[in-house]
Amino acid sequence: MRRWICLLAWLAVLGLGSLVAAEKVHMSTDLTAFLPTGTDADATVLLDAARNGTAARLMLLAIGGGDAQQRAKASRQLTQALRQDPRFVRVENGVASDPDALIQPLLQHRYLLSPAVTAESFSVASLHQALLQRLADLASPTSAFTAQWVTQDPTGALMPLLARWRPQNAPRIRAGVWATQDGKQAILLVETRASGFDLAAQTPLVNEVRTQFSKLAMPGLTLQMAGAGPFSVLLRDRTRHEVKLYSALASVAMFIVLLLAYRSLWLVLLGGLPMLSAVLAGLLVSQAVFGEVYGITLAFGITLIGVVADYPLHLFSHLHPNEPVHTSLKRIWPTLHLSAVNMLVAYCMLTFTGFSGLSQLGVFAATGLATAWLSTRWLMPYLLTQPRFDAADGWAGVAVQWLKKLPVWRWPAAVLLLASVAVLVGLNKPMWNDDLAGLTPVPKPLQALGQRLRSALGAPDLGYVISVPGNSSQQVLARSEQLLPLLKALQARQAIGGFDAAARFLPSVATQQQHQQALPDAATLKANLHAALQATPYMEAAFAPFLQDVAAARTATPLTLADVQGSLIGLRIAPMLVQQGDAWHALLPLSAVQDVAAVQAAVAASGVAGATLVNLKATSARMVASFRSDALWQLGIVVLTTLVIMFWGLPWRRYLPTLLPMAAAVLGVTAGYYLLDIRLNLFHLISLMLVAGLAEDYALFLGADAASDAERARSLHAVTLCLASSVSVFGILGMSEIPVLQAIGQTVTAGVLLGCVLGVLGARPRLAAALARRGSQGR
Amino acid sequence: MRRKGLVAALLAVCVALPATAASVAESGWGLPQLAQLLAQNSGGTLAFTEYKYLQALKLPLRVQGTVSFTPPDRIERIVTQPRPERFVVDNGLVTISKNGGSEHVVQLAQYPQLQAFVSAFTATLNGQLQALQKNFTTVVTGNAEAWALKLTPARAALADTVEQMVITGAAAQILSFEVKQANGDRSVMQLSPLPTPLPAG
Repeated sequence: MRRWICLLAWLAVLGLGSLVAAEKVHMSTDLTAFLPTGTDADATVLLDAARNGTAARLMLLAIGGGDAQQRAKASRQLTQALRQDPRFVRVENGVASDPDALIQPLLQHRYLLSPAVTAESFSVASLHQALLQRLADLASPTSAFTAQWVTQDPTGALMPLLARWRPQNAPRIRAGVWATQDGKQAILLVETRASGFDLAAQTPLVNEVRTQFSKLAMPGLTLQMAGAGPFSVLLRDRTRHEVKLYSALASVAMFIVLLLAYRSLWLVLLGGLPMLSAVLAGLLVSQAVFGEVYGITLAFGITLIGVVADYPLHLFSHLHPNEPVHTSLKRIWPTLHLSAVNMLVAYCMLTFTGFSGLSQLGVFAATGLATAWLSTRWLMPYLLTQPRFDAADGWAGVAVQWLKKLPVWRWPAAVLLLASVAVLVGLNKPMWNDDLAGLTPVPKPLQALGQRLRSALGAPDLGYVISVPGNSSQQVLARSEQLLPLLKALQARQAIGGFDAAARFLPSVATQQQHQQALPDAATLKANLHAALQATPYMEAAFAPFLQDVAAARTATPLTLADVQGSLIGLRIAPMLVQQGDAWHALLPLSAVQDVAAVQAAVAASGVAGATLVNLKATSARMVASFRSDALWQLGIVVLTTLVIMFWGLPWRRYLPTLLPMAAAVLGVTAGYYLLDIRLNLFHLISLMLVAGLAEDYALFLGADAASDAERARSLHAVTLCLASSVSVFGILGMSEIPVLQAIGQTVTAGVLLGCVLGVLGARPRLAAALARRGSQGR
Repeated sequence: MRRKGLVAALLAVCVALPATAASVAESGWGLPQLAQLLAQNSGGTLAFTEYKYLQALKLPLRVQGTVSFTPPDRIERIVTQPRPERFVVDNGLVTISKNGGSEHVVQLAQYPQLQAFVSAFTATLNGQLQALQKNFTTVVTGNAEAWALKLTPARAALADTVEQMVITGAAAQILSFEVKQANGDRSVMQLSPLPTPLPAG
C-alpha cells in the first residue's frame, strides 16, 4: 500500500513539474549560444549580424514538372499571392511589379537618391535627347504607365532607382518568368522580414509558401525551397522526426532488455523514473537560472546524464529475496555514491566555464544527476519489495564462476591506450570538424539545389561579406559608397557575381547633397527645357510638374535612416546596417565570389578605413575552434579534479583497474575515428564525456569489494544490463542518418563496449575470503 | 488604306444586299451576329497606323508597324516607327523588346488599361464577344458590312483609366480601334491587310 502512495506522490510531482515546464520553459533554438561570448565581441556581433543578414533572409523557390507555360502560370500566381503578405519584403519572379508603396517614395525623392542626377543631365543637349527617348516610350502600348512620368521625370531619374530592386544578373526568362539555366524549373526569389535562423518566424512562412502553392491546385507541379530559412525548418523537422522515431525505438529496445532481465514490469517502469525526474529537474532549474533553455543544452544534457539511467539498475540487480531492500541499497551505496559525486563535481565545474552554453549544460547535467542520485537513494527503496529471485542465481552466477578461471588481464587496456596515444600523436592530421553547419548538414541534393538557384538568381550566399565599420550610419554609408565603383569593376571582371549595399538604396547625406547641387535653379532649368523642347511635338506647359519637382528637391532635407524606417527601402537595407552601441557596420554581401585575392586586394586598395573582407565560414569555424580548444582545456581541469576525488575515495590498488578501461575506451574510440578519417565535432566530445562516465561506473562496480561470489555476480548482472541498455539505446540512435544522432550513438556504443569488456578483463573484486586471508597474513 | 477598306465594304454591301436583307431583317443585327461573323477569323497579320493624341503633345504621335494574332490570345505588335520595338502579349504576360535587345516582362494584369485594350482586341479578333460583357457595356451599331462596336467599362476601377473603346469593321475585317482614356488622351489605330510586296522591276 505504502509503495503505491509513494509512487503516486512521485508521479504527481513529475506531472506537476511537466505542467510547469510546458508553461514556463522557453526553448531557444539558437545554436550561437554555444559560441564563446566575450572572447572576440566584435567578431561575434559581426558574425551574428552577417548570419542574420540579407543572404539569410532569402528563400529561393523552384517550380518543376508540367510544361513551361504551366510553371510560368504557377510562378505568377504564387508571386501574386505572396506579395499580399507583409511578412515578405519582396517576391520576385522576373515579372516587374513595382508596387505603389515602392514607386511613390522613389518618385518623390528621385532627385536626392538617383545616381542619374548629374549637372550634365539638365543641359539643353541632354534634355533634348532624353525628350526624344521619352517620345519612343510614349509610342509603346504600355505608355499609359510611363506617360504619367514623361512630363514629370523627362530625364528618367526614376528608372535606375527601380532597376536597383531587380537582381544584377537577371536569370534567363522562359515563358515570361525566371527559369533555371536548363529552363526546366521556374524560379522565384523571396526575401522575408524575419531572419532565416529565426525558426519560430520561419516555420509559418515556409508553411505559408507551401500552402499557397498547394492552393494553386496544379497537379504535376512540384515546389522546392532553398535558403537558410527553409533549410533550417526542414532540418529541424527532420531532426525532430528522427529523434522521436529513434528515441521511441530505443525506449522499446531498452524496455525489452530490462523486462527480459528482471521479469517484472513494475521494476522496468520504476527504472525510468529517476531519468525522467532528472530531465525535468534539469529543465526547470536551467530555465530558472538562465531564463531560457537552449535546445542544444537539452540534447547534450540528456546525453550527458545518460549515466543516471544505470543507477536504478545497480540497485535492482543487487536486490535479493532474503534481504530487506534498504540493506541491499546500503551495500552498493558507497560505490554509487563515489561514482555520482565524482560526476556531480565534474558537471558543477562545467558551470563555471564561462560559456553560456557550457555553463547551462553544467547546470542541467548537475541538477539532473543530483536528482536521479537522490531519488534512487531516498525514494526508490520505498517503492521496492524484496524480489522473488536473485540475480546471482541466473547466468550472472555462471559467468562469475567462468570469469574466476580467467587471469586478470590489464594488458589489453594498456596496449589499446598506448596504441591510441601513438596513433593520435603519430598521425599528425587535423582532428576536429569546426564547421557549425556540419553538425546539422543540409542533404546533398538540397545543397546542390540551393547552389544552382543562388547562382541562377545571383543571390548572395553566406560566404563572404565586406564589413565597413564607422561611428555613425552616415559614415558607414559614405564609406561603402567609395567601395561601390570598385565592386562594379570586380563584377565586370567576373571576380564576383554580384554585390549589394545599403548605400545603393540610401546614399549618404553628402551624396544626396551633391545631387542637390547638380540641380539647376528654376530659371536655368526653364530656359534649358525651353531650348530642348524646340523641334519636338511636346507641349511646354505639360512639364510644370518637372520644374516643380526639381525646385522642391533643391531645398529638400536629405533622407536619413530614420526617414526610411519601416518603409520598403528601410526593410531592404536594415539587414545590411548593424548598430551596436555607438559602433556601426555596413555589411556588403557578395555573391559567387570567384577571385578572393582580387576582392581582398581591391578592398585593401580602396583606402576605406577598416573595410575588410570577411569569410563567414572561416570566421565561424575559427570561433568554434577557439571554443572547442577552450572547452577541451576546461574539460582537462574537470578530468583532473575527478581523478583527485577518485584517488581520495578509492584505495590505491583500485586506481589502475578503474582508470585504465575508462582512458582506453575514450582514447581508443577517438583514435578509431582518427584512423577512419572521421573528424570529431562537439557532439562526439560530449559523447566521449558520457563514455568516460559510464566506463568509470562499470569499473567501479566490477572492482568493488564483494562479500561473496553471489555479490560479485549481482554486480556483473547490473553492469551487463547497464551495458545492454546503453548499447540498445545508443546503438539504435547510431543507425540514424542524422549526423548528430549518428555521432552520439556510434561514439557511445563503441565506447561502452570497449569500457565494459576492458573493465571485466581488468577489474577484479577483492572477495571477502581473500580479504580476510590477506589481512591475517599481512599484519 | 482606309478608303480602300471603305470601298470594299460598300462594294460588299451592294453585292450582298439582296441576299442578306431578309435574314438581317429576321434576326436583327447585334452582338451574337457580329460574334458569328468575326469567329471566321483564324489569326493573321495586319498592318497598322496608330495616332496617339496625348495631352503632353502638340501633334499626334504617329506609330506604324504590324500586329499579328494567333488564337486563342497571343498578340504580337512590331513597331517600325518611330523606334523599333517588339511587344508580345501571351498567356497573361507582356514582353517588351526594345531596339537594343533588352527584354522586359510585365504582367498584363498590372496595366488595367492595357488589359482592357488587349481583351477587347483579342475578343474582337476571335469573335468571342460574349466574354466582353463581363467588363463592358456593349453597343453594336451598323450592319454586317459596316459595323461599330462601342465598349464602355462596366467596372469603376477600369472606368478610371479607360473611358470608351470603339471598334469598327466591315464583315470579318476590323478596320479601326479607338481608345479614349479618362485623362483625355486618345489613340486611334487603323488596321489593314498587309500590302502584298510589289513584284520587282
